[in-house]
Amino acid sequence: MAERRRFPLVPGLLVTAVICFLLYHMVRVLIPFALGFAVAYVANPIVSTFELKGLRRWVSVATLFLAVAGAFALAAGGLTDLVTMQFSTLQSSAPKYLTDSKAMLEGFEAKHIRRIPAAYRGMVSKEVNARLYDPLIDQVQKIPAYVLDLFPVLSMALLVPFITFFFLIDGPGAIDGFIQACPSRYVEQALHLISEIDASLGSYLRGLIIEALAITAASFTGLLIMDVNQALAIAVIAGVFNVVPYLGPALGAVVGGLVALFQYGTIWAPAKVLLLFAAVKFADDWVLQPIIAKHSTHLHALTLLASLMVGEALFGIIGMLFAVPVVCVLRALIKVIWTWYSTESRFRAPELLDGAALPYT
Amino acid sequence: MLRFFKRLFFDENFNQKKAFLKSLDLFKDLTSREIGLLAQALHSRTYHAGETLFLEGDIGRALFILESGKVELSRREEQTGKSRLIYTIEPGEFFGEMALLEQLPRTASAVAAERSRLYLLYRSKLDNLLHYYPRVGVSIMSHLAQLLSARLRRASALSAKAADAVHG
Repeated sequence: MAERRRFPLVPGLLVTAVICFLLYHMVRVLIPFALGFAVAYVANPIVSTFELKGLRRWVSVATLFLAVAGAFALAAGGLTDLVTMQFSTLQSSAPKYLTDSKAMLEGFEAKHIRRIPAAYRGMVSKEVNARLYDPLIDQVQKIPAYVLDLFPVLSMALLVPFITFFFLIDGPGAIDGFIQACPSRYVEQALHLISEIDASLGSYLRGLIIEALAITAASFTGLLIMDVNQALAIAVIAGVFNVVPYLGPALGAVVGGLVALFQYGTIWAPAKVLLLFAAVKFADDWVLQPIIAKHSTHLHALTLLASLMVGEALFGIIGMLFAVPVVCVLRALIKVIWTWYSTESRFRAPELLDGAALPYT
Repeated sequence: MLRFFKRLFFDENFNQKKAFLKSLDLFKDLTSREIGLLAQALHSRTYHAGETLFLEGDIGRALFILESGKVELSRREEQTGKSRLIYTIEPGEFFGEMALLEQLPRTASAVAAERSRLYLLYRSKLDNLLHYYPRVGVSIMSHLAQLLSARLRRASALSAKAADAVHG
């Protein structure tokens, strides 16, 4: 029997440690590359369809880019105007909403403060202001800043397509290059690893897009039925920010709830919006996710939560954005190592099929 | 002029790859589009003379199709421990198909006898084809089943002949 292959544990751990160290210190530099890779990954099936017709890859990629640019140009005249208008209305209404909220809270204070002895009113009012209004108003005023904090990603609008272009052009050639660089006897293992990462990451990204579209559509419909202002802008926020699990619907509920509160002036309107986003998230978890999970690798809710917390602790909002895909890759890696370990070490004996002993007739 | 534009826009290598795959018995029942899908699922690698593709006892995970060059299959003899050449793979032939059916140790070692270019079909790629393009996957699996049946028939005939020789 030939010499057994052993999993190169020590070199493997060393390489992993070096990669983790570099990633930790270069994460901000790598963001456009990671985004470019994600976009290229999602767009690759379209390029592959062109490739099937025998077209060169650069022709397919250039055609795709031209088509997307054309679509953007068309959208700029229509949908973009609508979204921009809704966002600007939302932005211009924000101060009014804040004033209204302060007036509402002041009314509440004036109504209940009468019950407090006169000697303590000034002190209580001061305390309430310091402990309730000021932090609240401060946080509410920071909401646009929080949202805008996430938008540096959009500043890469030129860089990401540029990187995407090269990822798409190189495409399978890069994978073949990696396989060529592997030691010959480990080629099958390299294929195994690529295949597992491909399956895990691919299904995650495709699922993410389906989810984002579904959440946007469902939220928009619900908000339209409730006749809440800036329905499209709120729905887009909910859909887009769903790239970080739970953040989209939560953000949609907060922004939508505030808009509804100041639009209708009752507590029921934001409550309905809150219910709507809870229902959207519920439908996503219990209806959409199982359908997506049929074709994808499902992550446990606790794994999701833990990965988001670790991502946030390490790299902030960017860490949250990439937490789940990184977990998908790590899971694929562990799966491959375990399969390697168990099969090469003969932990899993081959099963003898029923009927294998019968003569061939 | 037309030829220039055709060469500029159309990928000759991809078409050659398709033509090569179409010439193989394993894929003879596939349409041009299906061959294209298969070509996209394959990975290619060039092995230099003397490079080991896999050793006897390694767990198999991919099917190898030889496009050019030569690959030698050898098996270690239990009594002497020496390696014996059992077959030389020529261009257009494939080997390692067992890996597409089950993850078991390879029954022979494969070494490139000269600079060889091979296509590799990984098991999960075939699973994907079976899932998304059942006709492609079923056609390949059906051909593999026929091949296994033929080999089993041949092995049965050989063992029967050997038994006859032993019992007179």
